[in-house]
Amino acid sequence: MFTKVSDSNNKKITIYFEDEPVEVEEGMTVAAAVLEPSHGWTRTTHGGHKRGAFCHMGVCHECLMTIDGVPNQQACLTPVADGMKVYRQNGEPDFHQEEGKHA
Amino acid sequence: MHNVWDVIIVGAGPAGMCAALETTGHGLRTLVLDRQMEPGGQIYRSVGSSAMVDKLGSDYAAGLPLVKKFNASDAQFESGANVWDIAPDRVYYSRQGKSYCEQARHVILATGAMERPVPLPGWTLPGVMGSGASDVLLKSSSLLPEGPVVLCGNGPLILQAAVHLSQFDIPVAGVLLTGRLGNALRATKYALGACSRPGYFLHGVNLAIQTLFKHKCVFEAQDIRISEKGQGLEVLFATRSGKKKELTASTVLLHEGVISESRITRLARCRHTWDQCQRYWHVDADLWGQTSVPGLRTAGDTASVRGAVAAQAEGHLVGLDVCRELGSIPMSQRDDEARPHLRIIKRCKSLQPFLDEYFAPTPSMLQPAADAIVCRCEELTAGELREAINEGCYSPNGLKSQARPGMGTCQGRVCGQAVAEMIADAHGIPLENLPLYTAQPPLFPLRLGELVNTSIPPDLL
Ligand code: FES
Repeated sequence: MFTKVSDSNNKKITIYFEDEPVEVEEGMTVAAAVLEPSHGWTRTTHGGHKRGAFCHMGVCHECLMTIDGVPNQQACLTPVADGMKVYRQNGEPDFHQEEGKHA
Repeated sequence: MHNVWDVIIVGAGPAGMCAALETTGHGLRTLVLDRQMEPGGQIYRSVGSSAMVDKLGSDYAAGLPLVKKFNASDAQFESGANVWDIAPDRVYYSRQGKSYCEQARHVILATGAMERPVPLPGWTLPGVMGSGASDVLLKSSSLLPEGPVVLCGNGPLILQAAVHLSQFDIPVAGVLLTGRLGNALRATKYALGACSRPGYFLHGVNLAIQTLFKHKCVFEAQDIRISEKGQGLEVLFATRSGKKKELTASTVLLHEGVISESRITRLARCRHTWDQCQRYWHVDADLWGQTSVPGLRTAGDTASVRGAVAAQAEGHLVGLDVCRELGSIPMSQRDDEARPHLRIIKRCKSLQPFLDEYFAPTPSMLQPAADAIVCRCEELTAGELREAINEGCYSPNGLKSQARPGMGTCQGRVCGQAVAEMIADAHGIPLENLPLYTAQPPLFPLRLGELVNTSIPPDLL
């Protein structure tokens, strides 16, 4: 869906998207890092429709994801970190995830 | 006693960085807050670390020396800082799940601009994004859509996006231009002003020529709607003569110009001005960035969209005048040092009416089709909202309590302008008489725990 048009010298790290390891470059945002594995959708609405990041600059809140157990995180403002666990947010945020359901 | 800064600057784009260079250069203790991880703003996004600096032309590369100067300055830079409330002498922000309050003798808001959200049927589908979003991905992560891409919109940035795509051989299925051809005629009366920045003007002409020659362009495209088709997307539209056509894409990029991000200045209760040609509210400020609220200044696109060159000059002017006001330089020195920046602003201001008129938004584009989702957060369509409006709703705030647009997590950033346009159209009210949704703190959803567990002293909360 998206393609890399230039290589950077940034260090490669691993994050987990929906429990699958993904190799990404340090310095990326989570929203950019999961574009490929998520097929461009980061959450579903309460009506059950798929949505993906629209603005990539913190305005639209379409990229809300559960990151390291905390729901409602703006993936486009969050930098990736080694070992980070990222889940799509389905419908309303599930605050039980915070208690370590996915940990 | 809390630590009181001389100046807090919100936003490390061109305006914020230049303001900081002045204030720190004249010895003022300066804190700069930005939501991103690196200084640069959206226009110079990630320029300090980007693999694209040599590839995206001189406009982008121009940000590199500025970012380097800023990083070498005495300004304290806090990245990843989300400002959620503001007063003339203090700023509240959240960073990595913790909230802080910092006090200052002066606050400068340089929060920039955003793309104007223009709802279309299907614009919520994954694979559809702002052309600014694609620009951010290119600069910060060297990513471009694989294509085929369909571009829809109006404004110099859509031409820039089209040129970038062809530069990297990304297939473009079509460029649907939504501006009116008649705009060019109206803009000619400002052509003389456009000559005040001949280099910039020719650069724009060059982008337009490259776009026209390399891509299939459709002028005055209308009734655009996007739907899913197999694994990809289908863009349906009507030509100028009303003929229905379709294009297939994997990514659709939308852009209908750039408007000031006014939520923060509205929250601060500054006076605002309505820009009739480009149709957006922006904060009212004088040449030195002083708003109607003493102690609160603004610089760059927040105070009217004129682009990075003007934003830098404005940042310098605002910084200089803050230095004068806080006593670190005399008036005469401010005036001397301001002179080159004033000249730049004058040139930018003479060019702007031409661009504003040429790329004026098309009124029909601002009235969404009934099945277009207007409030993305609350999933409300134009049809549903019009029903409430026609039942007797005369203001965005009123509609908010009646039908819930603006109550979602983006707090009306995306739907605010569109809702006002719809109300104005339905009841024949001039839009400048319709204030946008009231901005309230916190400016974005905060976790309750963050407020309970804050480092903010109780007397400041
Ligand atoms: S789009 Fe309406 S509140 Fe976010």
